[in-house]
Formats: sequence, C-alpha cells, structure tokens
Amino acid sequence: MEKGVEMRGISKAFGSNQANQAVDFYCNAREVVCLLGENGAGKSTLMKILYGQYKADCGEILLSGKSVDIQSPREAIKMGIQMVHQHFMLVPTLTVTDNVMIGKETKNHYFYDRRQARQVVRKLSEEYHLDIPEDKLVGELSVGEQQKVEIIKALYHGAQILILDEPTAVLTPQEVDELFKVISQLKDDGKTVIMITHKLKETMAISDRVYVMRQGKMAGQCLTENTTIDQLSHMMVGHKISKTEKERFYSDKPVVSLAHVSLKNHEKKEVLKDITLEIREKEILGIAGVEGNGQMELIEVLSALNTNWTGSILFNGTSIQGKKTARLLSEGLSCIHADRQTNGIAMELEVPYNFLMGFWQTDEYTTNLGLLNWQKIKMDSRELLEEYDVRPRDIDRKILEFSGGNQQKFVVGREMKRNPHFLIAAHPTRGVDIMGTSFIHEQLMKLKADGAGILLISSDLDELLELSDRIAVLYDGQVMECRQSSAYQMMELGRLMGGRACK
Amino acid sequence: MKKRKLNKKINPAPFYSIALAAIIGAVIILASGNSPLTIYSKLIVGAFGSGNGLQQMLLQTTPLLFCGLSVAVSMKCGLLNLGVEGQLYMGALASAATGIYFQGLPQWLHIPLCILAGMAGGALWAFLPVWLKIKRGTHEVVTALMLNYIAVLFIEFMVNYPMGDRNSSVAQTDVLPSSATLPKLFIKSQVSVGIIIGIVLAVILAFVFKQTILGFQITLTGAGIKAAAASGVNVNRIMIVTMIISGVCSGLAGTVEVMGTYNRLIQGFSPGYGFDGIAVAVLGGSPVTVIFSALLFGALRAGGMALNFGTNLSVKFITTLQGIIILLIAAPELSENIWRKLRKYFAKIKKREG
Amino acid sequence: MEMFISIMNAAFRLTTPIAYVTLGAVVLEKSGINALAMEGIMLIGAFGAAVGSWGSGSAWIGLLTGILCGVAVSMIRSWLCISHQANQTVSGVGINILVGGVTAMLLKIIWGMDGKSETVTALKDWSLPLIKNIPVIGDFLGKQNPLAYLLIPVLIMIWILINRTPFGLRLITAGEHPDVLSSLGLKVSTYRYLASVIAGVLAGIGGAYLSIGQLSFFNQDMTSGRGYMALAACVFGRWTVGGAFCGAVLFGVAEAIQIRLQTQVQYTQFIQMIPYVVTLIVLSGLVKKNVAAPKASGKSYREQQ
Repeated sequence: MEKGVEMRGISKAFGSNQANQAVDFYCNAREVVCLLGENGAGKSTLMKILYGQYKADCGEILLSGKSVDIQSPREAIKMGIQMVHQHFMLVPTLTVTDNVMIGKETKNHYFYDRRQARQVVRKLSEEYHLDIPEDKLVGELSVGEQQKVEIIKALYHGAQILILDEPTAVLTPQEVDELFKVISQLKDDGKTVIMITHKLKETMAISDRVYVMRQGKMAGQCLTENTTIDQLSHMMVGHKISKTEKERFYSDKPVVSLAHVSLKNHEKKEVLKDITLEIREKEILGIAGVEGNGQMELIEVLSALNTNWTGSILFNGTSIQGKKTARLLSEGLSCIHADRQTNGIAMELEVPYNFLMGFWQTDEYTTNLGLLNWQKIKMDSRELLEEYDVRPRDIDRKILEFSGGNQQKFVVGREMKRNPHFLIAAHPTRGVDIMGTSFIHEQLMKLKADGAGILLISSDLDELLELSDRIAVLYDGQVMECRQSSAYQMMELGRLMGGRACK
Repeated sequence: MKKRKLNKKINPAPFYSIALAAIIGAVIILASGNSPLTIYSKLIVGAFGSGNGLQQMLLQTTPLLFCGLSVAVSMKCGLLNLGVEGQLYMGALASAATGIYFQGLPQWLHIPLCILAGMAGGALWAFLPVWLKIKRGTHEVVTALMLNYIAVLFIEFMVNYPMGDRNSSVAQTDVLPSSATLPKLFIKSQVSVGIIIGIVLAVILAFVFKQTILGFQITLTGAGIKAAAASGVNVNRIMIVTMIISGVCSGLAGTVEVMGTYNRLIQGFSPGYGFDGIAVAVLGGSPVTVIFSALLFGALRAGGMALNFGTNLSVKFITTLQGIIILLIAAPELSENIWRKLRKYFAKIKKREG
Repeated sequence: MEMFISIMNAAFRLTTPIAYVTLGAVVLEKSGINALAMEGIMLIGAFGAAVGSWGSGSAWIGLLTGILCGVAVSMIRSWLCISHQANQTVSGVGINILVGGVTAMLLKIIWGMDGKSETVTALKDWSLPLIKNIPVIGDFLGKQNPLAYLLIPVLIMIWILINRTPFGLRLITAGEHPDVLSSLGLKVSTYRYLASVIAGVLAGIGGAYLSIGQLSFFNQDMTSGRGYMALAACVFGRWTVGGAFCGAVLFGVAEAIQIRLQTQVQYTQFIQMIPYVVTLIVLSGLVKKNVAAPKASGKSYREQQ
C-alpha cells in the first residue's frame, strides 16, 4: 500500500550536532501519529525538514510514492503540509478572520471581501467544532483558542497533513480535551495529524501509532494499542548505566524554602502550582522535567525577576518578598540562567565587562574611592578563563566571539567564583565538551561540600542522577515527586516527566 | 617575548564613511561645475588658513561638542535623545534668566550658578520624555520632538516680552552682566572658555563610563537590557539617570552659547545644533572621540562659510556632506562593502595600467 | 461669522499639506518602517515641484516632478533600512539633514539666490461653480486649491487600500508580525518598498502643495517641521488612517486659529504651542500603554533566506 508521506534515511547535522541520523518515518491519511521524545531528540528537526524549513543532508521524502523536493514552507503548503508552531504565527491586533485569510484572501474583484471571508471561516469553525468567534481580535483569545485559529488557518490553506508542535504545552486540561476532539474530527475527515510531544498520557490517548526518537535516532515505532506507557518511557529514556553510588550528604539546614508557591503568567494561566520544595545546605536538588513545564518560571521567581508569585519563599531564613535581584545577588544568590545569550552575558561587550556583571553588586572590585579596579578585574578575568579552560584566552575579545560552549563555561565559572550560598544552575553544561563538563561537575561538588545549596535544572538525566542528592520532577508547573535520586528507577523518571503520576 | 596588544580595536566604519562622503562630495562638486580640488582646498583654508577661520571653527565646534556628548551619552544606554534642540534652549533660558535677574553677585559665584541653572533646565527637558515613557508608555520620540517646538516657542515668548531688550529691534534679551559672562579664550575673540568646559566634560564623562559603577550599569543596560536586569541593575532608574545626564549636556550647549559666545539669549540662535549632535555622536561613538568628530564638523562648517563667497556653492554643501555621513554611518555594512568594492575596482585599473 | 469663514479657509489651506504627509506616514509606519524621514521627503517634494514648474512652465508638470522626487528619496531611505539593516531613526534624521542641505545648496546653484527661489508657476485655485454660491460654506469650500479638493478622495482611497484590500492586510502584517508573512512565503521587503512608494507620493504631493499650491516659490526649510507633525498625528490617531487624518486636521485647525488670534492676542507664542501641547497631553493621558504602535515598526527585519 502506498504510504501518504514517507521519509527515508533522513540525516541532518548542525555543525557537530547530529540532529537526525538515518531516520525513517511514514504516515497515512486518517491517521494520528505521535512523534515522542525528550528535548534534543530530533523530533522538531525531522518535522521542520518535512515542512521545508530545513533541508536534509541526505535521505528522501516521498509523497504518495513520488519523490519530492520541498524547498520552502510555501512549497510544503502547496503540497498540503502545514505546521502549527509552538509560537503561533498570528497577528494579535487582527481578527480571527483576517489572520486566517492572510496570503489567500477571498476576493471580490480587487477588494478583500470580508463578508465572504467570515462565512468561510465560520463554516470551517463549525465543521470541525472549533467554535471560534470569527470577529474577535486574536489578542483577546485564550491560548487554546488561538491554537484553534492556527488550525483553521492551516485547513483554509488546504492542509491534508497537519504537524502540531507540542500543542498541549500551553493548554489547560479542558483545552487538551477539546483539542483531541478536533484531532479526531480531522482524522475522520481524511487528514493526517502528526503530533510532536513529550507527554506519554496524551500519546496513549490520541494516537494510532507512535514513533519514539532519542538522540537523533529513531528508537522505536509501534501501534499505540500494542504498547504501554512504561514501554514508551523506556524507549524515550533508554537504558542508562547507573553510576556507582556516590556519597550523598547534606545538612538539615535549609538554604531556600518554597511553600505553596504559585504563579500566573500574563495570560492568567497558572504556570507554577502550589510548589513546596526545600534546598538544604550541602545539597544538590535536581529538577527533572522537559523544558516548558515551569522551570523558567521557577528560576525567575527565585531570582526576583518575577515578583508576581503567591506563597512563601525563604532565603537564608528570611522572606525574599519585596527584595530586588541586586539585593539577593549580594546576599549570596547566584544564577546560571538557561538562556545565556539573553540573561547571562552582554554579547557586544568584552570579557572583563561580562566578568564584572557578576560582581558589581558588592565592592569586591572597587577601590577605596568607589572607582572600578580594572587591573584586578582583568587579572581575575584571565584567571577565570584559565581555570575554566575558556578559549581563546583573550580577555580583550567581545564575548560574542566565543563559541557557545566557551560562553557557557565562562558563565558557569563566573557564577561559581561568587562563592554563592545558593546556586541556581540551569543546564550548566549545555554545549560544553566532555572535559569541560566533568570539570564543571567537579566544581559543583566542591561548592556543595563547602556548604552551598544548589538547584540543578537539566534535561540530561545522566547528569541529574549523577549529581543530585534528591530529584524533584516538574510537570505542568507542579512537583510530581521529590525523593532521593537513588530511589528512582529510570522508567519511573521518564513516566513522571511525561506527566503520569505514580499510583 | 610579550607583545603589547592594542587594547581597543579601532572601528573602521567612521573612516570609511568619511572617505566615501568625501568622494560623493567630489562628485557633487563636479556636477555643480566646480573643481573638487578648488572647493576642498577652500574648505581647508577657510577653517585653518586664518585666525578668523580657526576662531570660527572653535565657535562652531563648541555647541556641536556638547550636543554630540548629549546624544552619545543617551546612546550608551540604548536610547536616542531627539530632544536635544529643546533641551539646549531650556538650558540657555535658565542660565540667561539666572544671569540677568540676579545682579550684583561676584563672578566666582554667579558663573557657577548660571551654569547649574543651565544644566537643570536641560536636565528637566530630557527627563520628561523618558519619565512619560516609563510611567505611561508614551512614544518617546514624539514627546521629545513636541517638547523641542514648545521650548523654541517658549523662548521666543520670553525673549520678545519679559526678558526682551527694549532698546533693540532684534529679538534678544539684555546683555548678561559681566559677572555672568564666561571669560574669553583669546583676546578680541568671540571664542570663550566654553570649549574648554566641553572638553573637560567629555573627559569626565569618559571617566564616569569607564571607571564608575554607574557608568558600568549604563553600558551594560545599553548592551543587553535583559542581562543587565538579570545581574540586578534597576534598568528604569538607569535610563532616567542617563537621560538626565544627557539633558545636562544639551543644557550646557545652550548655556555656553549664552554665557560665552553671545553674552545674551538671541531668538533662534541654534541653527539645528540638536540634530547635528546626532551626526556628531553617531560618527564619534564615545565621549572622547566625540571631541574629534565635533572638531571635524566644526572645521567643515567654518570652512563651509568660505564657500558662500565667490562660489555657487554655499555652506549648505557642508550640510549635505553631513547628511551623507550620517546615512553612511547608519548603514555600516554598506560603507564597508562599497569601500571594498572601490578598492577592488581601483586595484583592477592599476593592474591593467601596469 | 467673518472670523469663522476666514478660520475655515485657513484651516483648509493649512491642513492640506499636513494631511497628505500624515497619510503617507501612516502607510509607512504600518508597514514597519518609521516615518521620521517624512520631513525630508516632503521638503524634496516641495523643491522638486518648484524646479519642475520653473523648468517646464507648467504647474502640473511640477506636481509630477515633486512626486517623483519624493518617491526617490523615500526609496533611498527604505533601501538603506531594508537591504542594509540601517538604523531607522538615524537614517531618518540623516535624510532630513541631507535634503535640507541639498535643497538649499541647489537653490543657490540654480537660481543664484540665497534661501528663496524665483517665483514659479503655481497651481491656481479652482472655483467650483455651484458650491461657491452657497452662503457661508461656499465662501471657504468653493474656492480652494485642486490639491485640497483631491485630499478627500485620496483619504478614502488610502483607507480602502489599507483596510479593504489583500495588499493592505499583508502590509499591516509586515508591520505587526513580519514572521507571519515569511512563514506564508511572502516577502516582507516587497510590502515595505511598496509602502515607501506610496509614502513618497503622498509626501511629495504635500510638499508640492507648499511650493506650488499655497505659495509660488520654494523657500529654504519651508516644511518647518510638518513632517514631524505628521508623525505626531500618526501617533495621535493610534496608527489608523482615519485617526491620523483627524490628528492632521487638529494641527491644521489649531494653526488656523492661532494665526487668526495672533492679531488679537499679544502673546501669540502660547497660541502657537497649542497643537504641540495638545499632542503631548493626548499621548500621555489617553494612550494607556503604547499598544498601538505596529510591533515591528522601527526594527529592521532580516528576511529568512
């Protein structure tokens, strides 16, 4: 039988990162296929190749048995392939109708016929039970409704194959149910739906077939009815050799205590739900979870970049309510942010300036007259480059001239050198080579032994299991589970990260 | 053996722009029926060839220096101060008023008082747009532009009525008392110590930016506002402080003209220094290099005046060059590309001839 | 009554140039390029119109040359911003300074005079046969410059273009969220260039009105900040065609009242301040958070290759 869409032997590399390696994939009409995997597994890359945004290094794509060359999204759209991105391609100040129509406007002679457009949109909306008021401004819609507008748009532009990129990441449970109804409708109508996700429960609920990707390769493929959540999480996370038991020690004295902390984002969605956690001295608390489940918000709350939370947060025994970031930084907080290029460094400035970013809050580098002691700053910058093996060893270069991995080493080094009492480390070894990674791990253990508390956020389960004393799993803004890292089974971790609670 | 490395990489873009502008200028000169050599040498002679020319150059450079510093300061923080014109007028007004209405003070007291008043006037006018932007989200470009017009009109009113010179038909105030007049730099010259004040200000600003924590915070905010916030900088406060400093510079531009060059406040004394300041700052970049770009533009203007006589070009040719320089600087990639292509082209011609 | 008629007359004459430039500013801003250069584009329009009229003896040819000059300068500025990622604000200011210099320089070269050109043929006012006889209204509506009469049809055309055509919808998208256009395979630069042409035409007409409509010569820097007023009117009208037009009318009427009051009030400067102060108050009072500006306006956009 002819396959609707088939991808054979797809490989794609970005520099030294092999995002896809010899991946095979196919899907047919009247089918819902889930593409499952953790961050960096290669799912998005594969679909972006199908959608024409990237070009595969090798391999081929066949549509209905015929080999095709998809050069750009416009060509993909012409072939009926549409992608609903994680970040919506919608104009908030225009109506639903206008947003759907851009690029393929209904015309009356030379004019844009809004009345006809509204009818078309209303018809599509009703046909697929999307129930979107076509005259409302997109900016006034909820995120779930906006997603529906994207689907209407895709359908209007003639989509036969819909790729949904992490569609449920931003939805409430009720909205997820509604979305699944829509997906069923689309399937009955003869469309193909490919869903990129990391959520196990949803995969089981909606898909006909599942593909699991891991580290750029296709780890497995099966019919949903023939598999279980455990099997899937096993495939997702893989067989990891657990390292020898390290000595776990921590004191009972808490450095940071969160109690019933909740946070709503500006769309009024709860992104942190009743978080109660404690990070103690000499402890590394790891946060496991796929990106987008509340980690960023947790970091922002703890570093006072977001002050709209409710609940109680104590740092060194006193509440951080009302304190500004600079104050926390001078009281012993350090933060290795996840997005280093935005929050961690100033790209256009040279190394000494970026070094000073971590220290200007105290008078460590000011002379008696209150002036900056550049000699000392430069000396210590050089030392930092040396110690953390940041190349090239040139403090006169702007930080943007350094590679990503070296930038990361620099940021980690700077934050560690502050000798913090509490360190938030988000993806500390992202982009760093093996030597650098092991050095950073060593430093983290040293910091911990010196009495600091460390909050470690990472999508690398190996790293988490190796370094953390306890691991808390974050899913959808909630702490699913928090216990000694040795008490976790690999499969269990995968399940928790995918949203399935234990018993 | 250790080699001494150049600490700062010199940005070539301004030089490409000036060179390209000179070439385009030569083309314009040719098109107007003149010889580029004649015109350019007239410019040089006009600026440097005589005592008068040099004085004119310094006179033109002074306000350009202050305005350039004002815009350069704002640019350090990632903002562009478009209200310099209004700020310099308010500074001029404040200092003139302090000079005229407080008679009988000794010079050592009166001059600093007037200068402080001028600084305050400019600072206030620069504070308003940024404050409105932070508090109410108002479009700071339009507010600054509107405030320019309001300031000019307000000064027009003040100079024609309350503070006007009854005995003069020109719209200007009374002469400032000698206690409020800046000493001259040379005898029998209009050039005052204002230019020295400007240079000193540039050095102070450069020092602040390089050596103080405040300067560091401003630089960081301009380079990456989110990174600055993440490292604890109060970015709103820094933006306000930066604009106040910027306003102080523009206010001083007006103050020095009033207290030094003209010794009174004359209606419309600024032929658009505020916008020229943008050209100076964009070409110069940092406080100390602004001194040089201000000197360049000052020399061009002084030389340009020589064009008024005997040629069919006028000083407006200089304005044209200024505009070209700004456009070339605004698109740095363009200047570099054109320059590179020209070099290749000339190399080819040389090869063919050789 | 007589004062009312004279104010209305003046209002028409003063609003016309500002309104044209304002419409051009709105179209340009909505496409994602900021309209700081309108002052210079209007000035070159005025100059080009004067030269064209002087050279050919016909004011209508002058109008054409004025429009062509406006389009040329607008395209140069946009080319710098679109193809070379130039800073929009700096390039806008640069254009204004450049045009100010070039026009003044050419004034001297062409006419040998400093600051003002020779008198050129101007567009004569039209006298509308029936309307001019209507009492009161006819006195100011019946005898105006053809460009003033053209203003309302142009306003309607621009409104329809932005709000009722596919082109307008895509232009708005280019200014609000250019990624959306790219994701659909459309080129953002196409729409921004087309917007620049429209802005150039409109500002060119506005400028031409100054030199060969209202007056019959070109004066150095004769735009006197009307280009910036257009930007203010655009912000005042929250970047809508109709709203910006109302802003332009506000400026025109305020100027008309101010001129009339000048003979009756001693301290005229405060009257002259009215349009600017009103704009300030409106901007800081009524506009809550700057939600109305096209999101992508002022930022350069790198087209995805």
